[in-house]
Parts: sequence; C-alpha cells; structure tokens
Amino acid sequence: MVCLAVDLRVALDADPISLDPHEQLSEGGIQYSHAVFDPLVRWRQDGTFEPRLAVSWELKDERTLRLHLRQDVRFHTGNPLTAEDVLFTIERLKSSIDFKALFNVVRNVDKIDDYTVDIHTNHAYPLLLNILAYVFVIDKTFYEGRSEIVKFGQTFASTNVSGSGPFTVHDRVVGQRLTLIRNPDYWDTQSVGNVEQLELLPIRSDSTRLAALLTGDVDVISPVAPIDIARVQRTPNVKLLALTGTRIVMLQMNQARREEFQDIRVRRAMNLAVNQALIVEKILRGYGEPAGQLSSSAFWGHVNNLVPQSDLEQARELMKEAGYQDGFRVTMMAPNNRYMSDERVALAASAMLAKINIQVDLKTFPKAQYFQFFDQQAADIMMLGWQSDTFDSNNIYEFVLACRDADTGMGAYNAGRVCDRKLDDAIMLANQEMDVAQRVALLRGIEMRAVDKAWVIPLYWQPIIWASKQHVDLESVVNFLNFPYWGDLHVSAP
Amino acid sequence: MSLLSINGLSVKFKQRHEDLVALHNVSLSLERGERLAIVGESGAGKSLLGYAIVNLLMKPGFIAEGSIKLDDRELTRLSSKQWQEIRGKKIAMIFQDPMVTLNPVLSVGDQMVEAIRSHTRINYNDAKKLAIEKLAHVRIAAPAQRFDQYPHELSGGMRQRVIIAIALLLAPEIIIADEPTTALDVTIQAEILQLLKQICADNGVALILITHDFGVVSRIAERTLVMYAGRIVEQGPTLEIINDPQHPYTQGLLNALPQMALPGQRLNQIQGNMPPLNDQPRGCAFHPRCPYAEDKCRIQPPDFIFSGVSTVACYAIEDMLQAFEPLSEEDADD
Amino acid sequence: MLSFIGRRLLQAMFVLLIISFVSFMIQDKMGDPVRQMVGLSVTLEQREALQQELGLNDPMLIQYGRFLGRAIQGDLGTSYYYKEPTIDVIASRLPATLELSFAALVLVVLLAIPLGVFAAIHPKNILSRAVLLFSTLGLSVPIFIVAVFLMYFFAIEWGLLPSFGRGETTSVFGLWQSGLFNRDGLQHLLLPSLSLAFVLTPIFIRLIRAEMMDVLQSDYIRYAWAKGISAPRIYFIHALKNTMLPVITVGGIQLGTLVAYTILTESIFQWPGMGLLFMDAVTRVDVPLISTYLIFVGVIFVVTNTLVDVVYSLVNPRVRIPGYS
Repeated sequence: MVCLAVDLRVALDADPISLDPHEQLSEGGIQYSHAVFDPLVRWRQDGTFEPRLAVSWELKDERTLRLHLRQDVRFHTGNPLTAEDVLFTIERLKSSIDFKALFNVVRNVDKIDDYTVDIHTNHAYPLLLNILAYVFVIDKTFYEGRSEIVKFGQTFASTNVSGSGPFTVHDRVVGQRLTLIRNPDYWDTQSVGNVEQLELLPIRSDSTRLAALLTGDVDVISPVAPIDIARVQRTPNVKLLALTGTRIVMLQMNQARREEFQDIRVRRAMNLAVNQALIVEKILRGYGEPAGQLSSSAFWGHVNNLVPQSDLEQARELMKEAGYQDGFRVTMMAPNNRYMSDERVALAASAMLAKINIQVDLKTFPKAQYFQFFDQQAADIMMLGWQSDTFDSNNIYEFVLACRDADTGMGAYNAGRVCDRKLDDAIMLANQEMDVAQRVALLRGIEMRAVDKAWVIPLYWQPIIWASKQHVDLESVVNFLNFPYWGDLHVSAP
Repeated sequence: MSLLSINGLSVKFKQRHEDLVALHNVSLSLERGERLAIVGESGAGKSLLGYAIVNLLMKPGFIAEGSIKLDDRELTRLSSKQWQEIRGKKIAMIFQDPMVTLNPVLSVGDQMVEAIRSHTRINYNDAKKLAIEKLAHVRIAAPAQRFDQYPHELSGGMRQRVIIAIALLLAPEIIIADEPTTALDVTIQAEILQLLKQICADNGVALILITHDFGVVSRIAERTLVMYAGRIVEQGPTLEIINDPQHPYTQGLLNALPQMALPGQRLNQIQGNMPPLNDQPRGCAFHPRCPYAEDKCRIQPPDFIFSGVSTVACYAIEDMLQAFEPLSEEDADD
Repeated sequence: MLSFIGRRLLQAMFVLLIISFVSFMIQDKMGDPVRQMVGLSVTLEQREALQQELGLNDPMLIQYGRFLGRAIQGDLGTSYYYKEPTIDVIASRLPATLELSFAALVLVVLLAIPLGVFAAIHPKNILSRAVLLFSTLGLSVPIFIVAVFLMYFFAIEWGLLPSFGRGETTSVFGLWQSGLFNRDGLQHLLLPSLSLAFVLTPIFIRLIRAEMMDVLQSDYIRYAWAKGISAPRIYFIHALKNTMLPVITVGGIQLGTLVAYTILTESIFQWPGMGLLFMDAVTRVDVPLISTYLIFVGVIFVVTNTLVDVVYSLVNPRVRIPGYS
C-alpha cells in the first residue's frame, strides 16, 4: 500500500564502485544491488530465507535444488524475466573474480522450463540458499554480447543497467551521487515501500556526514562514529538505530613467528588479559558486543556460554606456569581506517597485554597498506575483521582457522598459522553436512575447540549504526547483514 | 600686502613629557615674484619651515603657534580638503632627490597628468598636451616620448626638470625648492639652477629656495634668510649679506667656505656644534660658539635690528650700532 | 614574450618528468591497488593474475617507460576506480576546485586590501587593532577547526547554509560545470571559500599593512601630498601599487599552499574537487589517478608562478620579463 511518495537522501561513506552487480563483492555493492536488482532469495531478520524471484524450491537430491521462478517479473527494459536470465546470471557469477569462489560449488544450472531451473552442485552443499541470496538476476537480452566484467576498465555493465528491482538508475555522478527512482512496474505489489526517489551520496568525513543529517540536508546516514553517538541521542529530531553485526574483529597470534605463542597457556593468558567488555564499553561506547568466540549469535556455530573471560590474576598465573612471568616483547600491526575505532582498540589491547608483561610495539596503517603487511604476516600479532560472505560460521573457520593451503585457498587469512587437524576435518565435514542438527553440532564443536585452544583472541562484533530523521523508520529495513532493503522502506509524513 | 606672510611661527615635536621646540618664533614675508633663499646647516630647521608652510609636517611635528598667511588668507586653520586645493596649485614644492620623489611604478606622464587633474576639470588628452608642453618648456628633448617613460629611464638632471615642470603645471604663486640640486651632479647643478631662476623670473613665480650652499644662493636668490637652531638670525639682500655678513654665525658660515681658505691652509670651521633640540642654550642660541659672546647673550635672546646691511638678531651688532648711532645721524644730515 | 613562455613551457615539461618519475618510484609504498578492487575472499592467485594484467609485476623502469610512451600520446592512464582516462576524471573535477580557489582568492582580496590599507593609514585606531587581533587568530587556528566551526554555526545551529557538497551547477558552454551562476551553487560555495579565506587573509592583511606603513613614509608619497593629489588616489594608486609588489611575490608563494588547504577544505565539506579526488585516490590506491593528480598540480604550480611573474613585471616597470627587451 503506497501512501504518499517521498524522496530519501542517504549519506554513506562511499558510493558503489560500479553499476555492475557482479563486479565486486562488497557491502556497498550489495546494498546497491538490492535496490536495483532482485535476488533469487533474500535473508529475513530472523535468519530464514524469503522467496523473492524464486517463489519456491525443493531439494531433488543431495546435489540438486529445483527452483520455481515468479512469472510476473519484468526487467526495467520491459523484458520478461525467465529461466534464461537465471542461467545467464549464474554463469556470469561463476566467471566473476569476486564471486567465483562462492559459486565454485555450483557445477551447472539446467533450464527445465521457462520458470523452472535445477541447480546442480559438486557435492552436497548446505549453504546453497545462502549463496543464492547473491544471485541478482540480470537481463540477459540487455546484457548479452557485452557482458564482460573488467575490474579496472570501463564496461557496458558498469555503466548500463537493467535489473528487475524496486528502483531504476536515474542519474549517476561517480564520487558524488547515485540517484534511483522508483520502478512503477515493480512486481512486489505487497511491498509497503513508498520511497519515490532514493539518492545515495558519499560523504567521507564522519563529522560532515553527521552535520548533513543534523542540518536536514540528508535523511539517513551510516556509519555513525562512536564519538558522535551521544550527539545524535541529544538531538531531538534525529534518532539512532544500532544493531550488533556479525563482523568479528580479532587478534591473531602468529605461532610460526613466536614460539611463545605455541604454548597454549600463553594464548589463554592473552585471551584472559584482554578485557573485551571494557573495550566495547569504553571505546565503542557500549555499542557492538564483546566476543568470546568467532560466531555471532546469528550464526549456527554460536555457543551461548562462550562468553569473553577477563581475569588478570589467572592470566598472570598461566604466564608464570608457562615460564614467561617476566613476559617478552612482541610486534603488532593494525589498520587505522578500516574497522570502527580499530586503532584505539589496538592501543587498548596493547595496554592490556602489558599488564601480563607482554610489551607490544604497535604500528598502525591505513587499510591501503595494512593488508599487504597482513599477507606478509609482518608482525607477531595482527588485527583482522572478518565478515562471513555466506553469513555462516564455517566461512569464518575456513578462512581464519583452517590450516593454510595455497591450492585450495583455505586459511588464506590465518595469520596465526593455526594448523589443527581436528578443526580442519570438522570444517570439511560441515561443508557438506546437510542435516541441520548435525551441522550445528559440528560447527559448535569447532567453536568450542577453537576457544579451548585459544587459537585467536576474539574482540568484538562490530555494531551496525545508522542514524536518521525521526520520521524515517529504518528498523523495518536495516538487518544484521547491513543490507537495507530500501524498496520496502515506508517513510511516514515528517 | 605681501604674498606670503609668516608671523611668530613655532613648530614643536610632540613628546611624552615635554614638547621639543624645533622652530622658535619665525617671521618672514615674501613678495610676489621674489626669490628668497633660506640658508643654514643641516638641522637648522630650514626644511621644517618649508614643510610647515604647506602643512606637510610629519608626526610628531606640529604647528604650535603663529600664523601663515597667503594673500591674507590664514593657512593654519585650513581643512585638509582646502589644503589639497592649495598644495600643487598655489604653492608647489620641489624636493631634494628626484629619484625618490617620483613614484617608480607610475609613468612620468601619469604623475604629471594627475597633478593637473587633481585641481582642474580637464580631459586626459588636454592634460597630456599641457604636460608635454611643460616638458618642452623645461628643455627636455623628445618630450612626448619622455611622457610615457618611467622615472628610472631618465637621468638625474632630467628627472629634476620633470619635477620643475610639474611644479609649474598649474601656475603656482610660490615654489618651495628644498635643496633642489644637492643630489645632482655638479655639472648639472648650474643648469638646473639657471632653469629655475629663469622659469620663476619669466612667470613671476615667487621662489623659496632652501639650501646649505651659499654658492647656490648667490646665483639665484635676491634675498637671503640665515637660520640657526630653529631661529632666523639674519635676513637681507643676498649680495649684501654675502659681502658683509653681520651675524657672527653668518660670518662663520661664509668663512668656512672652501673658497675662503688659502691653499694648504686648514678650513675655517666654526667651533662646536649646533645644539640638539632637547638641550637648547638659554638666551641667544649661538652664544656657546660665538667669539663675541657676552653675559647678556646668555640670558635673553636678542631682538631683530636693522644693521644697515641686513636685519639681524645679535647683541654685539646692537651694541656696535648704539656706539655709532650719533655718527650715523650726523652723516645723514650731510 | 614568446621566448619567455617557451622557456617556461620547457621548465614545466622538466618538472612534470620529475614528478611523474618520483610518483612512480613510490608506487609500491602506497599500497596494493588490486586489494582495493577485489573482495576479501578472492584468492592470492587471482590477485596475482590481476596484478600481472595491470602490468604491476614488471620492474618500475619498464612500467615508467610504458607510462611515458602513452603520456606522449596524451594518455596518462586510466583510473582504477573511475574506469575513465585520468585526465578526464581530473578535468571533470577541475571546475569545482578552481571555482573554490577563485572564490577564496576574491574574498581574500576583498578583505585583506581594505583592512590592510585601513590598518596602515590609521594604525592606532581601535578597529585596526581589532583587525590585527583577528588576523593573529586566523594565523594560529588550523583550517579544519575553522571549517568545522563555520559548519557548526552556519549550517547546524542557525541552518542558514548547506553543510556539504556543491549544490546545483549550471553548464557553461557545455564544458564547465559552474556553481557560480545559480543561487544554490553560490550558497554551497560560501562556507568552504570562507574557511579558505579565513586562513589566508591574515597573512595578507599583515603584509599589506606593514608594507603600506613603510611606503607611506616614502618621499614620493610626501611629494604626492605636496602636489595636492587627493587622499584616495594617494592611498590606492601611489601607495598601494608599491605596496602590492612584495605582496604579489608572497602571494605567489601562498598560491602553492592554497592547493594544500584546498585538499583539507574539500575533504571536510565533501566538495567534489580535485583535492577530494586525490584523497579518495590515495585511500583506494588508485595509482594512475594519484600520478596524474601530482602531475596536474605540478602544472598548476608552473602556470601560477609564471602568471605571478608576468603580473609582477606588469606592475613594476623596473622589472621586465627576463629576456624580453
């Protein structure tokens, strides 16, 4: 039911790199894709999947999922959406540098009829729906023959768009604004969204972004720096929306560089010395959640009683037991413009480790340089923030805990040089376990073992913070994935 | 009625505690077309007198008392707007060093035309014509070319001619020339002086020539005024004063001229120095250096008296005259 | 004049060569552009393949040689992020920066000259003292504080002016997007240019005041009074012209710092000019854009220095353009 149509101006910290939904896998890119395209399925707030372009599905066998598509969808060009478009899209995703890893498991897609497809996977894959949430179907007729994806060059798809989504691209000035207007023929007539024009504006500086909201020049902003939160709460005509996200920020202790880290007592001591609750309370101003494990509560691997522990006495005991009462000196590196308050958190952690006599030489870098150092594992302790692309625990374990294997790509972000056979086996199994209960048990088992072995030091799950004018009800569309479904946003009268 | 009449003019420098007196009770008069020289050492106050006449005293100097009348019009009470009309038009000035007198970033022509157009309503082209005429008048070759040039492109002598030309532009009644040839080559000096004399004579312009050089004085001025320590000590016809200086200071000055010394002989200097402003002697200002000083010189400054040659302020002359008085009366009878 | 310009052009070429060379040599210190372009989960293999494709694995000198080869044909590279020739990207942002700088300079001139002249003519006046005090403030306060301050009061507290961006622009001759010709654009221009002006004006006020006070003591000024020239003409033509000579020289040097300040101002006000472009490029390690920007700035420096020299020689007749007779 559309009441009055409104214009919405949203200020984010960057604008989408490209109008091609398959070019880059990034938060901003997916946010854009949801506005202009439709996925086959979509996450709900409660973690279940909502049918979108796929109205229903069934597992034909362990490796085949049959999808039934909506029959009333038209692209912005007017072309009807059929199975051909789905095939075309998935092929394209498999060739895209950013998405191919995700879709590696898909062997091929068969067209059964105009509105039915069978997706065949290489093995039983429990997270098929998770990746189908990334299948933003594009208009084959429109893109065929000029659909190349080029990272660093101009392509047809990066500047021309035909999706089926609630908005069409009206105007774009790279680096300045992206203006979308409502698609009048959008198939989802049940949507309560009434935003007629959506303007996405990049504003780099946190304080300028906030000023833009306070002056009323924009209606919605994200992110909001922790230091600005109080200001938003004090101002009567704006409001804050904060949820805990699933991005886990952690410290990794490199066992190959320092033999001290090979001692489990040292690792446990370090985990006990770092006071996650204090960090969240003081530095993140109480936003976000202190983490005692890698999986957030939204993920299956989350174990409720694995809360962050902080016990200086015990930490010292452990260090003494391990023979490091006098401590030692280590190097640490962290980014300073990547994660929320990353530099300050790193400083705090260093100070906390000093209490158990571990002297930390901290260096921070802009993200442009930091990740090169991360790849080189250039320091004894490295900070990392990980967002699971599949929004599933195993993704984290695969990249961060699994033993490094250049061929398979496992453990690509394992700067701790963790190599735990039992863990790796469980990770492999969980990748193919279709039974939900079994899988949950596996994942939780991995989590518990990881915490027991203190392979990493989890710090916090990064909060998702938005602010808006009072009359804009963001709660209805902002979710724990931080992909707001703008098409469904209903804005009441100011 | 005199063209310019100065009476009891006192110029002081404003100081925190007590103002310093720079010009004491100066009186003089200037007739139409008359050429008057004001002579003295540096610091005697002659330039100050020149600036005071056109109210261009730089802070902290100011006119404390006295009157300056131009054609019976009191100048000391004029507003700055009224002054603007007088300066350049009724009274023109020529400064010492033409290189620093002309603005280096404006062309000669600009600086001439602006002088004209500040005082008369005239369009640019007519003003330009007038200016070029005047340049020719002061015997500058190729005046039209010079009009467009900048001061640094002219020689010293030419620059001074330009300044003289500017002084003449609006047919002033008085020209005040402050050391007009001091900064020029000796060879040029004579030319410029001659030019100045002729211009004034031809156009009936009165001239006040401020200088320390008696040689210059004798060439041009009909009357001379000698200043010492901010006071006039002697004034009269130039030739008379030069031939028969009355005041001991004037005598000393003339004696000190190199021409007066014999070859091989030491130059005749006047003993001592001119007193500084904040330490003026009581009585006659010259008495500390005067060979004829007496007690009464130290108490009260002398009045002016006419000595037969010139008007002079000196007790020695006064005494001498008193001594000879009966004789002069007798002579007069014959 | 031609030979002068010719020599300056040569100088420019030389400067550009050095700048481009240096920016190439420091490339790998800037970060990994490939990382910025791909998602986290992309494999090392694939990243290396991209690097290969971009030619980033070749030795620096070879990369530089390739760059020079293309540069001669007018191609300074393609931006990784904008995916367009860098020259086009910078050219599209040039009007914003130029207008901002121009507006700031206009404000500086409008403020500094009258205030400086007034303070020189009436040094003991209470207004003059206030002006000097204000100028000390301007010199000691960093520009981002000024900018945020202005934004806080004019945009947030009083709601008089917009807080970011350039607003609407009108197209001039189809080439230039200008914010000068419509109300919205001018409103957006005001705060950023005021911030810039606030920081630059003090030094000019002080300079003009000091120079002018000195000039007013000169003989030629006294002579001008003696000629009966009117006071306004004496102050604004005789005195000011001489005063401006050292000011032009210093001003020329300050133009260089203007570029630096513009970057800060643009970042704060999200002003879509070259400065913000550069900041974004550095964060994203958009190397071609960074190199081209540096080269552009080099060109701007040479051009403005040349202009300053020409203007100086026009104002001061004693100085002629070197080599021009």
